[in-house]
Amino acid sequence: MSALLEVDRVSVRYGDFQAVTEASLAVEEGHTMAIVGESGSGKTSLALAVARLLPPGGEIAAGAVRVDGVDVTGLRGADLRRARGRLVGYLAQDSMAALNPVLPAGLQVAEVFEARDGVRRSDARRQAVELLGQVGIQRAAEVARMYPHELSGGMRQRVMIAMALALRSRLLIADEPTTALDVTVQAEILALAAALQADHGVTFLWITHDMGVVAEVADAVAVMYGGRIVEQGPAGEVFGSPSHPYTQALLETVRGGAEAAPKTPFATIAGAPPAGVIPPGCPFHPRCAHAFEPCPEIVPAIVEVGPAHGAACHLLGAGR
Amino acid sequence: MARYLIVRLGLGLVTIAGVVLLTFVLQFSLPGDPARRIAGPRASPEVLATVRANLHLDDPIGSQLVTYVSDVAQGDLGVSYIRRRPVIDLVMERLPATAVLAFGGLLVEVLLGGGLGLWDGLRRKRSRVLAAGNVVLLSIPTYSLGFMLLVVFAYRLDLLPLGGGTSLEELILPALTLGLFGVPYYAAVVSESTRTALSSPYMRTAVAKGLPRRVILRRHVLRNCLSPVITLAGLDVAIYLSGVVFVESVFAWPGIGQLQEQAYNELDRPLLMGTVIIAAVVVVAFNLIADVVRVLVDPRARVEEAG
Repeated sequence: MSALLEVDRVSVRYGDFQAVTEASLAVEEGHTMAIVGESGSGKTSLALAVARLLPPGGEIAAGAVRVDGVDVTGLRGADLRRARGRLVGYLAQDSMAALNPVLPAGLQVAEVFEARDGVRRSDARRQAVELLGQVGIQRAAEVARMYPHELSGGMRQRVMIAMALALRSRLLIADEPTTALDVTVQAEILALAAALQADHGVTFLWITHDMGVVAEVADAVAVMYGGRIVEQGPAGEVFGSPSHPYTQALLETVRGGAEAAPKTPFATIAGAPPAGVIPPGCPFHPRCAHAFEPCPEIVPAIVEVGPAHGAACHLLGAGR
Repeated sequence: MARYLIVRLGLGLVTIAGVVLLTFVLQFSLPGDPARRIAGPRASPEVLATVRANLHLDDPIGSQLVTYVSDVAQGDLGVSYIRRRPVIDLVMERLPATAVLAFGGLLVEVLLGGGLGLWDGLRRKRSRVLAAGNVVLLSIPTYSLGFMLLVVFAYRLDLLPLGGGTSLEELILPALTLGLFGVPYYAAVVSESTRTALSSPYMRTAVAKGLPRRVILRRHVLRNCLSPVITLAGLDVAIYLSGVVFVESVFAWPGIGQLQEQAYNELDRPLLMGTVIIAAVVVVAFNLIADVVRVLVDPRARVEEAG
């Protein structure tokens, strides 16, 4: 098996602000990689860079993104437009905002067929209704005529998934698509994503801060902090033996302290994630309980800690 | 929808009733004796008395009001003092010319204003030239603009007729005068809607789908500009249809505005009051129509209206 997505030392900039610094990762075809991190960790910027959807002012300053062997960072104009969707689909967090409020749901799926295959509107509509049925929408023909605000959050997210199915995207970027949904609907959408992967071999890059979702969907995990990937590896490895202090703290907040009863109802990581200015050296050092001399000075390199499992921390360096 | 319509219709009727009441009160501020205007300066006191009795001018104010309101409610706006014909007929004769001018002006402002707004909205930065042009257009009074166009295009360059008729050539300048005044509003509204649409998350979805630029523009940008444009256009059609006095008088356009101006100069009470009331009815009707059309094109408005 080969990697469908290869992100090679990608940096993303918004003017003077460096949102992502030299992030590298690879996702195998049909697998799911979760990118985990707090708000401002750079996870969404990295996802938008992969999808070539960075807002005006944002740019891929360095590195390469290869999807199915195609370097998408070099695509321009019509080539980029044709590659969009076919290679990378995007499931947004806020499905209400991500759907056009004045167009019926069915049309927003059907226009993919119209634009790409040049089929007649009635054909496109029929195919759209079929897909809406496939993603588990009851009375699909009726729902196709409804507007986004007339649908529930779960239904809207299913419409977004139907859109991705219509595009036949090889890679689907899921940007916290279940965050706004209640738990039962969230479970349904996760099951739908799993079915999609089984049936169509879709590869997922799943952006989230919810460790429960990560445990559910991910084959591999990349943990981001301050624009850098600080730990990466197979999900079992990262959960079983977290090696970066930030990953350990993050898992601690979910487990709530398995050994001793926590003093507070919810464990938190002291301090706040960097906003605006990313600290020099290891970005996590101001909040790290184990920080020592080199941490504020030198950016730690990624050290192999297990099979395909690496972490960037001076504690793991040679001689320690 | 039905409940909403009934409420809006009721509010419209209240507005019209208010206008009827106001015109009734304001007529007493007009100088001159209506009976003398009809009977002429040399009429005998006996004739004057007969005319006064026919017009119920000596009745108490309260009973005059009742007579007037019940006449208006039955569509009877009285008879013009000067032209000796029913007011309603006089206004209806002028309606086609006013309608042509109204839609001409609307065409200019929607196409020119909308086009400029779209151009501005698609730019990365707002155009300063357009902003300056908007300020200039907003600062020129309609009648000055009309005279300027008339002097340049009809008198100096002799490209277009001076006016007085309703041919297509004679329509160009008055429609331009009327429309240019509305251009800044449409340009601003369309530019803003375009910017909002372009920076919205659903635009990211549309781009991510790999749609051609032309489809994105037509379906995802223009569709979202439609609703505010319809609201503006509804107001404008209503105002223009009720007669644009300045433009019609500058270009001698034989519409309702000109009729209204003549009625004022001739102190023709029934004609003046009639044109005002018909204007109120037209404004109310077109606001209602614009609201219904807006609800039809913008599904979000259906939620607001249900609440």
